[in-house]
Amino acid sequence: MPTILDVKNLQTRFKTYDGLVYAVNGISYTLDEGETLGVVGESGCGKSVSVLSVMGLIPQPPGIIAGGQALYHDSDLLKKSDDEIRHIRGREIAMVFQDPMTSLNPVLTIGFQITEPLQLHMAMTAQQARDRTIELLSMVGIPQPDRAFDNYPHQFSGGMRQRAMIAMAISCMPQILIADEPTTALDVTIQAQIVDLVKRLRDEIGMAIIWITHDLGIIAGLAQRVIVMYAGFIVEHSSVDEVYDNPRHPYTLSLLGALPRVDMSRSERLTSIPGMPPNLIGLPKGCPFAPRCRFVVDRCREENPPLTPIAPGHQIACWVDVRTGGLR
Amino acid sequence: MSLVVSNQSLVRVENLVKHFPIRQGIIFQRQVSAVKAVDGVSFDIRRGETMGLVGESGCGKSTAGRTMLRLYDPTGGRVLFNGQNIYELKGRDMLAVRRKAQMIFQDPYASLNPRWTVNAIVGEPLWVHGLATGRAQTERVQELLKLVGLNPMFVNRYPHEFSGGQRQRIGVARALASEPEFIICDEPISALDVSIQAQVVNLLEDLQDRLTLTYLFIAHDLSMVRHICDRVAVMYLGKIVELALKDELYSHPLHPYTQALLSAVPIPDPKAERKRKRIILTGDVPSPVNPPSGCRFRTRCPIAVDRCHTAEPAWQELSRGHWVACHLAE
Repeated sequence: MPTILDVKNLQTRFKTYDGLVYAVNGISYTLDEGETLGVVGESGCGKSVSVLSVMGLIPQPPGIIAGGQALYHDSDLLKKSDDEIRHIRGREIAMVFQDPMTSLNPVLTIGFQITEPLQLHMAMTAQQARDRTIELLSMVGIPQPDRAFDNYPHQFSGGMRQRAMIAMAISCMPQILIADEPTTALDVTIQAQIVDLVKRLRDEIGMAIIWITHDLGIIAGLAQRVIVMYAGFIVEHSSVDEVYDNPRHPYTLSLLGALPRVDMSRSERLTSIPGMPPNLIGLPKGCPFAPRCRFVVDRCREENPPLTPIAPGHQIACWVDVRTGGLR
Repeated sequence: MSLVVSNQSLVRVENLVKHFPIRQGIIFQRQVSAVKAVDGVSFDIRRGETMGLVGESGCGKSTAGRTMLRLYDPTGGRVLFNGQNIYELKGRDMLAVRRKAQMIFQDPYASLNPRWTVNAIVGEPLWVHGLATGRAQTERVQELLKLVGLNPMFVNRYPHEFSGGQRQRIGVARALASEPEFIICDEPISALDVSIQAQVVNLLEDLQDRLTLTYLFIAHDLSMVRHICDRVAVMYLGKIVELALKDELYSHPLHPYTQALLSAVPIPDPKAERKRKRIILTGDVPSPVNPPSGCRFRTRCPIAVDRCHTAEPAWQELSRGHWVACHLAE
């Protein structure tokens, strides 16, 4: 499959009163056509900022895109003016956000908000846009779509709002859909509905998806490749099967150990990760995970390990081999 | 999961009902209807066990927990704590029950007073119940902080100086201050990051073993409930639909709602995920103001028949200790 998005050495920082926050520190990844890429990490690890930077949605100031490239069809998204990127955003790369209540405008009808991108990007007439919107609403499984068109967001439940957001995102048949924790605020039964819907739409439209989440469970059933992030760095990058069967970064290993499974009875203790997620003010001297890592060696405190391949399609950023506990 | 579970019940909930009135009118307000948050819930919790109460948001699980401790006045029913109906107790007797039954809340940001120091927050139950004041109080608070894995030097700090996981530990320390027998944990980990969730769950398990505590663990995360609980009750729209020992419930769910709920939980294993068949429920949870007639789950149930519209299913014990409310379960 040809590569559709190629992000190279992206660096994003924020100016704050306490100092410079190093949110994303030189991450690189690619996305192929029709592929689903999972981005996993805890809150504050830079997973959202890394895609918002690509979309030109980081306000500058206080944000600073300190370096890197994001090649989309061989043109750098980071170098585009606001006007240029506005034609790509929404039409070719669409986004679904975490909280459907704050990302919909409460004083405009659902229909108005979905027709807007259709009229703006696809140059449809009001009537065409209305018909298309009703079709989209029924595609995402909203009952009585012609009535829902004139409803306001508060008349929708959380799951229906997220469906409306998805309808809006796919309205212009985007090539890339970026989903930023779209199911975190929803119940498991509604989450299953949304994941099912996105999978169906992915197969129908053939779009590529970047799915950001902190839930390793959702990614397992959805993505083909997974990126694990910590403190603004990619610490492990591999195919989905490898990450779960053969996790090689201590952080990934601990995250999986911290998750109980609904399909297995285990009486052993969960492996908790001691300490707290790091403060991102200033760059760490060594590996950012070193203070919480149970495999830590002297070298980890001195030098930050680069992301290196250990097997075909499997990269980790760690000095230690977690299988032996010694240096790699 | 606790080590010692006796057969003796510590808490018995009988037909608990909590309706929140909906009123209309400005001066002469009259009640037009009610949100039936909890509508006849019965179960018992044995000494030393961890009981799980699970369900989707809005099913009434938190309201049930709060009403059980009389944080809300009940609309009906009884709660027996050590054999005493706590809704009939007054003054000193009620205070004694409050000392023995405590609560840990969901949001560690909202449940600690930002203007109080840790000493005041964790020490409040101590002076309320006359257990310690002044210097003795501070010493006891320091002991409690050590018990939950915080530095005892933090006594004079304020909540904003702590992270989410640390705040939840302060909440646990406060609940432990009055030496309770029973603690209701109302979604104690859902606001925390994955790596911190495991820390708090391990802490709750250690404390249970050391202090022989009994927990009611309210949560929507079914995998964590399987990890920590001994028995699990599943709630839907104000009623319990199934109750069983956890391994029995997770391996042989009888109620179609439990089956759907379990099948919706993602498993962190791509191979297992590919093989799974999901039961996807359509639609949303109906409003608790006008719950559906007959079985409340029938509007979303994949196997509902005519009888489900008319008759409410009986609460029956189908195998030893496995209770379910469904016409079609066998």
